[in-house]
Amino acid sequence: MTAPHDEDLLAEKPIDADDERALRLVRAHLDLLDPVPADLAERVKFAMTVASLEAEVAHLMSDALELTAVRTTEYDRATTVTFESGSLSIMVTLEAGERSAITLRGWVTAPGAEVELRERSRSSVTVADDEGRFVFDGVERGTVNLVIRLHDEPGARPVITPGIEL
Amino acid sequence: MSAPRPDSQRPGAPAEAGLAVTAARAFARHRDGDTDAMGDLVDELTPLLWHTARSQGADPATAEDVVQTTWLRLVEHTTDISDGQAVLQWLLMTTRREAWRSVRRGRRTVPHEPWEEPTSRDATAPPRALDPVTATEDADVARAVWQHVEALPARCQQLLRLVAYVDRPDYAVVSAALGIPVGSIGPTRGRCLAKLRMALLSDPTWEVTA
Repeated sequence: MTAPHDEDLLAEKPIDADDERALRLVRAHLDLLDPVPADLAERVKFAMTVASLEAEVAHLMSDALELTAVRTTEYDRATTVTFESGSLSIMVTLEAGERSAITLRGWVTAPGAEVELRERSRSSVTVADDEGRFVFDGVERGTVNLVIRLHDEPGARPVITPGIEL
Repeated sequence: MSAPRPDSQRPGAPAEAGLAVTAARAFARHRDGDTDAMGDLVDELTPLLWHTARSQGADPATAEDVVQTTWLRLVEHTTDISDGQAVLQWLLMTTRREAWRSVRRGRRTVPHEPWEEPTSRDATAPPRALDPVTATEDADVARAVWQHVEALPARCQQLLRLVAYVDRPDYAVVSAALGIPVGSIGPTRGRCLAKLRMALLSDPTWEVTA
């Protein structure tokens, strides 16, 4: 067997390609043995957004109610989702638009509220009309959140929806 | 009507810069008001934080809570962290401390090593046999290397588990965050990698394929 001082010598030498290979294999093995939960980063980001906005999270009331019977492609359908928070309700309808982009039509029980659509790497802001309706065109597939702000009510917390899968 | 903000360009940090530098840049962007920066940081560092929590003995559910708590603390402490270069170390140390606390007050009274858990712990995990890595002969060597890692002292196991997830420039940060003196790993191989190397040198599985 190797004497203990060999370990000292090895310890003082620079890291070489064999060390890096061993570490790569450790990583490959751990990726199998102990994978990071696939949605962990997304859940972390949502929690951080809620925290930084000091927002109230709206709860999903109904999900994936398919409105149209005709379905020529998997995108050719409309889906309606409803969320509720302590202060308001939000209804969202998704429609397939040009190419793979989506039109998101919504209605909120707060006419004139500011509505922000948060996509993966951008966000858009609009204002709900007098009847509480709002529209976002050309939304990319992915997970989005809506943030509703009631500027007329001082002190009102923003309301954020959980992720909506498009 | 809707006024999309332009996609912010991700300033692809050179690979040799390491996670500490990438994290510092993203953190600086975050402080400058770039709302995507923190998300990029989360994507980049969550795997490392997961393994940090797991290597402290947190079970998978606890590790998820620990990682989430750590990131929320970063949001709270954004203004307290004056040196962006320290963000990676701050995250690692916070994860380690949170994991240690959770494990102590958790169901388990004796901290255990995560790799001692029965392999059937997660029924939702994809079947391992389907993973392409297991189909390669590297998988056998990987198993052999892992067995040697498991035979090392606990501190070395923790260190190598994390070092496997970072690039060389980050080794010193990782070892410092684990409370293993800086310099014990870094430009030189250090004690733990030396121990692993010794084990591998006497292992025919490794000799044949190296």
